Amino acid sequence: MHWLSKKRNILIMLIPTLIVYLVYMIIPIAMAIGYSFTKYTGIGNAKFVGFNNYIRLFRDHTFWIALKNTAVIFVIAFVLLMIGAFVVALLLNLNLKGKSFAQSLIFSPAVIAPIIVGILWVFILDPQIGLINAIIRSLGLGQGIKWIGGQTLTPVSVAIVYFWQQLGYLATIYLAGLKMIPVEIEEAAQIDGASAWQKLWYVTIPMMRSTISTVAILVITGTFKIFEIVQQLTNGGPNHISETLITYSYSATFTNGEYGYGMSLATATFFISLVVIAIYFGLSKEHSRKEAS
Amino acid sequence: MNKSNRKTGFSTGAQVVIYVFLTFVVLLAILPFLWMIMLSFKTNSQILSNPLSFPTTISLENYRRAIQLLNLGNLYKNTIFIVVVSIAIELCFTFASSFALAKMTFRCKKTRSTLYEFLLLGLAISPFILLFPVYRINTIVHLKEQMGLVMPYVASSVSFNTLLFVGYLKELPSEIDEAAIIDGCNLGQQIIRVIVPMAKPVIATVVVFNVLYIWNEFPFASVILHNTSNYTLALGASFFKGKYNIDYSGMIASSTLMIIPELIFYGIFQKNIVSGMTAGAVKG
Amino acid sequence: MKNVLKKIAALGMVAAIATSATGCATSNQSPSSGATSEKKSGSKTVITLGMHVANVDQQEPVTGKIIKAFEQANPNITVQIQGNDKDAHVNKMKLDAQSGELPDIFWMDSSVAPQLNSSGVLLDLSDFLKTYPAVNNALSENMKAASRSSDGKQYGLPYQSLVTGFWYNKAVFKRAGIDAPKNGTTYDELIKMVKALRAKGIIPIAQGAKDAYSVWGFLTGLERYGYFSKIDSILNGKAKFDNPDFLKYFSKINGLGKAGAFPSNCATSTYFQAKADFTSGKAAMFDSGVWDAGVLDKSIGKDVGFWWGPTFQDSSDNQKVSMNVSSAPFCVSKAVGDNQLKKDAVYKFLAFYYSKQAAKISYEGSIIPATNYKVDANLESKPAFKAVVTALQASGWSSPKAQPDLVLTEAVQAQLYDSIYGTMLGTYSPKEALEKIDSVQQQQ
Repeated sequence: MHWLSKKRNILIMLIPTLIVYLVYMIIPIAMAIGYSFTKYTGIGNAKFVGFNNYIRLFRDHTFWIALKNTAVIFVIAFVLLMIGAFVVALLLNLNLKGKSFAQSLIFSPAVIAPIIVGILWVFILDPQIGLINAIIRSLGLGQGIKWIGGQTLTPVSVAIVYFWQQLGYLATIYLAGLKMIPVEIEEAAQIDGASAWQKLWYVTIPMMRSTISTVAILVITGTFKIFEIVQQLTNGGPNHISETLITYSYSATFTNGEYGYGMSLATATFFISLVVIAIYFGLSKEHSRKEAS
Repeated sequence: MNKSNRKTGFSTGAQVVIYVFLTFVVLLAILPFLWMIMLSFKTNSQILSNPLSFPTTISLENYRRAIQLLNLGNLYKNTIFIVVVSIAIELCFTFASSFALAKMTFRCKKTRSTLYEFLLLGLAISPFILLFPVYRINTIVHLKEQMGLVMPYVASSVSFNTLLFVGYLKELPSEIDEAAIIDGCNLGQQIIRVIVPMAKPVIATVVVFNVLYIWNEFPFASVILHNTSNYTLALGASFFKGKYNIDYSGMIASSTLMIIPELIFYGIFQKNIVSGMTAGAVKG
Repeated sequence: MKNVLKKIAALGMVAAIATSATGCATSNQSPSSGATSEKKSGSKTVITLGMHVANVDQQEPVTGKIIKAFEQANPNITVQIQGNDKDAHVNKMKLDAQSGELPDIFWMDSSVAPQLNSSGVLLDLSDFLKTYPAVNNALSENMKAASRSSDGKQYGLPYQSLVTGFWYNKAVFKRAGIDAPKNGTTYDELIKMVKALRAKGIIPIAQGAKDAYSVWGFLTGLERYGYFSKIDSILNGKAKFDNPDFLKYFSKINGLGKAGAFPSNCATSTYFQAKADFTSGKAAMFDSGVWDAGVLDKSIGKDVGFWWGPTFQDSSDNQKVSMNVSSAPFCVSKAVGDNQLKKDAVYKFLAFYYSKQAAKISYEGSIIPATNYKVDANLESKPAFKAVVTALQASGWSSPKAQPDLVLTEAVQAQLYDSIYGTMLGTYSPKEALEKIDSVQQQQ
């Protein structure tokens, strides 16, 4: 494997990506973090204020509300998507009639721009003009529920909209992973007399380990980045009740012209999502270590 | 009848349940779409005041207005241009770097995994954070308009592409590489002639996801593109948003026009993903 | 797949070459050159105009017509419009200011313009006003003062007149058998109206909280509790928003909410939905301004009236407060001053924009221009617009020098809107709402 280990070759392969990534991703992140230590309106000069923004963040009631909402969205969406997409992928893996047609349709929500997804679901979830409550009212079952714009249900609704949008997309990734499991292994399990359930648990899932990690990372980072859906459904309102970490950061930065504070919120969000990923991988390593023993 | 030779063991009853469940999932997925199409035939006041009603006339008025207002040909052209250039560049860059990370021997294992995790950081970043800094950087490197968009798009694809490519390439058995060396291939030949064909399904997946992302991307496009004649489709929806007036029906009609090519694109590519995957699996 | 990849790579390279050949070179493709390029092809001068809507002809038709009329009268000047929806536009201008790429003339948010001025990127228009005394006279003092800094620099001129208040639907009131409001209706009378309307299943006042800025009528109310006699001390840190007068006012707003004045889905409603509620007859009143006159005249115009909002008997301040002030300004980039040709063209444009001819175009488009020319326009076909003009002439009513929110920074503005809506919806108590504004103000 001589050219597989030649340093020069490795460098040639890595450098273009690294340069673009450094210039247009890492340096901007560093700049953003840098701004989080300043007071800046977006015009003129930024004034260095040390940790003031972070101190303000800890005392900011709205930050904790946003954190709570983001956590609720994350937990619900994570559970629904990790399991739901997997189930759909399993079903699509079966030799059923019309399955590629079904797959296209199930994937289609991911095609719509997030902002349109948001606008669309307003017309479904709005307590007054939305489809769901209109149906409830026409069935005589009362006035309907405050899916959005109320005190508690907005994060749940956001998670469900996100689930709707991502289901097909993640199922496609799971499906790719399923297709990579060598047929012989599955047939071997069949011959050994394993039931469908045993096959799933002892053969399929362990062989899908890397795919499952991929999906987990995508879901964790994805839920923390949900923006347009919340913006269109409630714009963080009423009065910041349904604010998420990203929508709050956006409104601080662009609506309020408090760029420095907005960046401190964004930096905090970034680190929180990294922590969650670390926890997930820590737990899954524990789990596989226990399994092995 | 449906006892295929790949999956057996499901009774007819179970199969009925499965069909019903899948149909239900499909309906849930497309119901909002159908709703959207229905809305695109209604007028603004109908949309806002009487959501549940069917449009009184199936008029293509909204579409006509959308087409008239937007220079659709130009918008499509601009969007396709940016998509093609960005995808071409990012595929070359990220496939190469992912191959290096997945298959090439590093003197120090730690470097490899650190680099890998480093490249994944971008996944946790929301694009808004980067808006102002990227604009600044474009000014410094003198990139404007379309090229000013392409490079940030390439950069934001690095994390996702690395995640998928490395995950896939790691699974490819190393016997293939050994065989190629014995055959006397050099690195370039190896990649192009052997690896890429085997990686078809993951490349197709990456292309599809990235095309959709760039096609729909709004925040960067709105800030970096100055010339109205360079605008992309995603900015087209903003043509219906005034300060005191939102033309919802126009917006929805133009969004439908934006989505249709995406659906067609996905429909075509999806066959590739599926067929490519079966080929890959059998090799194992 | 390899073939496809090859094709993509080839396309990409062709495209890259094509871009570098055409994209960066800002040469003579007439409508598509860069932001501040001034070109003369033949003897034509081009001035760039940055607007806060993506499609001027559709969303700011009066401005669109004025621009066209100007170009017709000045065939050797072309106006190149760059537009984006408001948030994207403001962001872009902030970024352009840093990279020196501001358009020659551009609309700017009232609270951002002073900041742009402090960073030195705006042209002082006092020279323009001196060069065109007719314009100077046509703009009343409070119109000019709105965009003048404390050291006398005229950093902008009003885009239009901002006239805000409550529309009301006479037909809806008549059907409900309730007296319609008029200028001078008190708060207590309004509460009675609200309760009566609610009892009949009518939305008393259409509001949409998702668009937090849509509290125009209620901003005027602040002045009925002495806003402008207090605001300077508040901005200096010597006084607070949480004071007895404002507390009374916010309690009144809270009272309206409790009496059912606002739609039940106000929290998830946008301003546009509120407008639809009003035009469809579901709501009796609508909080907005003169800009909606055109739309209203297309549907329920003849039934529409306009009033300035309730007066309060427990306030010692002037109650006859109307609202006719400068809207957000047009600003001019400082770079224009360095180029004689450009400066002349820009001055000509502004002079036309503030001319009597442009004022007539405004009236015909149901917009009140910033200038104060007496214009002969036939308003009979525009009853809603006429209602506004009539209200503006109501005797004894006078306008403060600015709309209360426009003298605040962006962050405090945002909190003010949030606090008003919060009080309406009952999310905040009046005291909490005011304390929040204070805490944001302290951060500034």
